[in-house]
Amino acid sequence: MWNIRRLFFVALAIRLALAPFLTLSATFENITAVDTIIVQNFNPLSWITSYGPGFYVTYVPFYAPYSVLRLLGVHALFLLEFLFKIPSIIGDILSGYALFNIAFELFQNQRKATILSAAYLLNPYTIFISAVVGHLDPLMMGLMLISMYWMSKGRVERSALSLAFASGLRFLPALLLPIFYLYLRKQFPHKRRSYLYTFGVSSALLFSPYLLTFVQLGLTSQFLLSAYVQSFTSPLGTLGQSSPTTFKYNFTGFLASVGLWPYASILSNIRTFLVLYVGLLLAFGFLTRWGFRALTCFSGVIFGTFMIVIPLDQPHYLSWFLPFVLLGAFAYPFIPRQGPAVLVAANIAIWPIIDPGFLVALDATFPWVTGYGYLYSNWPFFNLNLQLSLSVAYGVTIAFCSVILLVCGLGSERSDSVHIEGFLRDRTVAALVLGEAIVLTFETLRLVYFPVLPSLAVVTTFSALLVVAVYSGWTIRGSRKDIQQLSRMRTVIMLAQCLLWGALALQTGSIFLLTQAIFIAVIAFTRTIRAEAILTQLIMLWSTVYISYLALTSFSVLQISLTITTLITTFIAWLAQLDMSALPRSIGIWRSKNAAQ
Amino acid sequence: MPLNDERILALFLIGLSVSIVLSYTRIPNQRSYWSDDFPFPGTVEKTAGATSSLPFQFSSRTNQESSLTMRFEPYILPFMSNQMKRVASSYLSIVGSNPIGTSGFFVADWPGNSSGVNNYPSPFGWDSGDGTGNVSIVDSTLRIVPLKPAGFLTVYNFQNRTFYSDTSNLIVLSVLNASNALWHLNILSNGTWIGLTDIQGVLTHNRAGTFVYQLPGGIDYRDPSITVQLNQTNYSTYIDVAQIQFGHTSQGSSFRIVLNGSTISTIQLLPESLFREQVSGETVHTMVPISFTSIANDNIVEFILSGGGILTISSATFHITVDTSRISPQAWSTVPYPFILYGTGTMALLLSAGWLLRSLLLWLRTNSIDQTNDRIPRDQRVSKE
Repeated sequence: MWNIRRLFFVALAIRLALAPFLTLSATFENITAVDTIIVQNFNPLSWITSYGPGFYVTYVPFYAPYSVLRLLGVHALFLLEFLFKIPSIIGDILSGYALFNIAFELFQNQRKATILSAAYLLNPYTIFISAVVGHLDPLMMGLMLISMYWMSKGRVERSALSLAFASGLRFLPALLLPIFYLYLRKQFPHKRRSYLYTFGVSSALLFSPYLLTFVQLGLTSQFLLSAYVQSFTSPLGTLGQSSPTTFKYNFTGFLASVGLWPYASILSNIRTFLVLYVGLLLAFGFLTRWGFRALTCFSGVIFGTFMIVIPLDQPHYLSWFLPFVLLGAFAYPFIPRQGPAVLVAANIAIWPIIDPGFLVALDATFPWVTGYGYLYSNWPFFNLNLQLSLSVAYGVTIAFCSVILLVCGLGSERSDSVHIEGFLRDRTVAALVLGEAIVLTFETLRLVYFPVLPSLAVVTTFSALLVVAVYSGWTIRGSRKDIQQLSRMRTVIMLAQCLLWGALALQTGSIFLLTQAIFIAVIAFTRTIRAEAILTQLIMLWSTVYISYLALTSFSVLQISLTITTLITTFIAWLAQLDMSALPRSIGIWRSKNAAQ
Repeated sequence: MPLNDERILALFLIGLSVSIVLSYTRIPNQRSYWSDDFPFPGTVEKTAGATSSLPFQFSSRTNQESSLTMRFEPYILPFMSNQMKRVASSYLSIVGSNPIGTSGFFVADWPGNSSGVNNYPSPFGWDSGDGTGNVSIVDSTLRIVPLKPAGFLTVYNFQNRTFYSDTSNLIVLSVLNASNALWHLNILSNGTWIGLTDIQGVLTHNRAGTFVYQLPGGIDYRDPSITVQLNQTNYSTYIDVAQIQFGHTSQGSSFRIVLNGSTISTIQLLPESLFREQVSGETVHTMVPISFTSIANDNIVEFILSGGGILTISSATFHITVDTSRISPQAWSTVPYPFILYGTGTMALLLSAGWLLRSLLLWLRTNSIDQTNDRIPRDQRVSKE
């Protein structure tokens, strides 16, 4: 039987087994950053990056064993890379520990806590980011989550120290200080001063090396000091150095590729984030009871907002958001579990699967296996448009999860959530959902990689028709066991989407799209809920990717306009799916209306 | 007897260590170092005849000199150690439109054309060389036809005439037709054949048009040749060359970059009248090297366009690059001060890590209870802690 000890050992074993033999860019960057101290004898804080001083405090010790080995004649790079992944692995263990304890404190249910911890520790994404890529973000998140846990236990000094250290690794966790303070003010008012004192002193100590830089620059030249101070905002201004059409983890790349970036950039920037951040702080301050659920939900919303609004969202940024989504999915069951699954799947599909970074990783340690870059340079699945299409689905899912977290954070603290039921244990339903998933995946791959093979198009269309037929037959049988009334609003949205799909089908001459339009219409009028919910979510998700791809590869203005309109309708349909999710009753507006019907 | 989890983990760690040692025997025992690049975006000091915000557009009026003055402050300079300075280099990175002059004209020092003038031994002055194919004159142009599948044909000019890039830095090649062919231009310089990229940075072409090749100064070159390859084997392949000219521009516009009062780069712009087709709308990325010893804490860079032209700069960044691979890893013979600073923190971290590990193992032991106790509140359990 699984228990928390076995879970931790397995999670650690997987990471330790992968870490020495696979490596990617982040490890190189971290090694290079520490090289500036060890090899170049340079003060790294004189060069502003997204790393804080805590990064150097954490990573320099792991250079020491390598320095000793070097004296013995061992120069193998892979040993250094292995050592530089240990902080990330420690971060994962800390996160798993913190999530377990948070869930246990909330629900006094060890099974639930273990499942939450397992969802984080055995997740392919977290394993990839810490054990293969070696980013420092897992450590930052581990410290932040443990700070949150200690805060809930009233150990405020430890919490403050941990948050200060997390902010020392990257500056981002400091954004959560105001909501941490408000939570503290309600739960442990007599410990406020102690918390702020500890946070202030530890941060001052951690950031004190900057003083040396300030003083030395000030003594050299006021101009240099001024330029140095201004450069603190530079890590956020990466747009000038690369093309936004290649930004693959939110809407930036898609919008830039279809020529809408000049308009979108008015809203997608750091200023917008700051405005939204202040709005979120005000919402937390005035619209919540400063409870622990609101604290965790708003923490997730702040990170989610950052990922959507900032132009450059990178793969490891999901580390900041994922723990809160998992809390929302496994501890308080607000978020459908498909949410984190889609986030992880889309993130990994974009990179390293479509862009096979793992081959580069193998090249770094076993170059003779992958032919010194031959496999990587001949990888047949490279496709920027597909990556950007997936990035749209990824961005929509982040927005979807953020909205649910926000709404749930604003809801009451009562445990009034409803469990999401697994869909009916009906073999027909399972086969139907699986069949549709296969058809949609096959059609997407056909469109992307084999667009001119008519026989494949016939196969996918025939398969889609078969699914529609089976679904229709099944709903006739199942309609006798209605679960709830339909939401008219959702029906209208789905019919609008059906019409747009139909128009798109006529414009492109695709029978497959016509089939899907019919399917959406059938679903819009069906009265059986469970299979419909799963199928609708599946079709919404697929539509987002497929329509984005059509928009990216279209040359006709009419087709682009139609696809963008359909995409917007799909967004709305995604949000309409909130109706079908197990949200707390207190905030399920549509749900209440439906119940009244 | 079943093994407990700690023993399994211990076995795993032993296996991992053995695996690493075995891997070490296969993986090269060497370390790679990566260069560090420090970019510094500049601030605009003043402009004259150019726009003052991005993108910077210079005046196209021929009788007006337009300029942009930027300030670059590489604030890492006071912190660079001696070993860094020894291996440092710097350059200015400019991204913008490919500049076109609005004044000046092209002077051909040696025009080769189908009239036979200045051409020897064939009417065009060219003869077949490597590869398999035909060379002929069709409608006053030189038709080059490679024949074999996946084959090529290189035709040479045997004028036995040497050009100097200080005086003839431009080659203009007019191709009237290109059918199913991939082709590029070569020159012989210092006994080596060099494939030339045109001013848009393209080496291999597959279309007809007028192509301009600009050579850097100080090069002797001769024997221009054209290599033509089949693009696809099922179609007829040929290119028709109408003219090749060697020359330079005269009375044209120029673009100068001045660092702290000293000119570090001068570019003669190509006249718009001749090269409009080639350069319009192209974005180029130019890196102008700067001697590291000539840079200061405060650097004033002037971009000056004389004689008018079409020029837009979308970004200008000052870079300092440190090639770490050229530093001996043992360079820090004395302990550097940041290392002392972080070393202290490091020791504290290691000590606390040991304590945390011990706490974690203890916590894991106490929390590994049967799932049957799931719903029992922690304070009601007797078997724990």
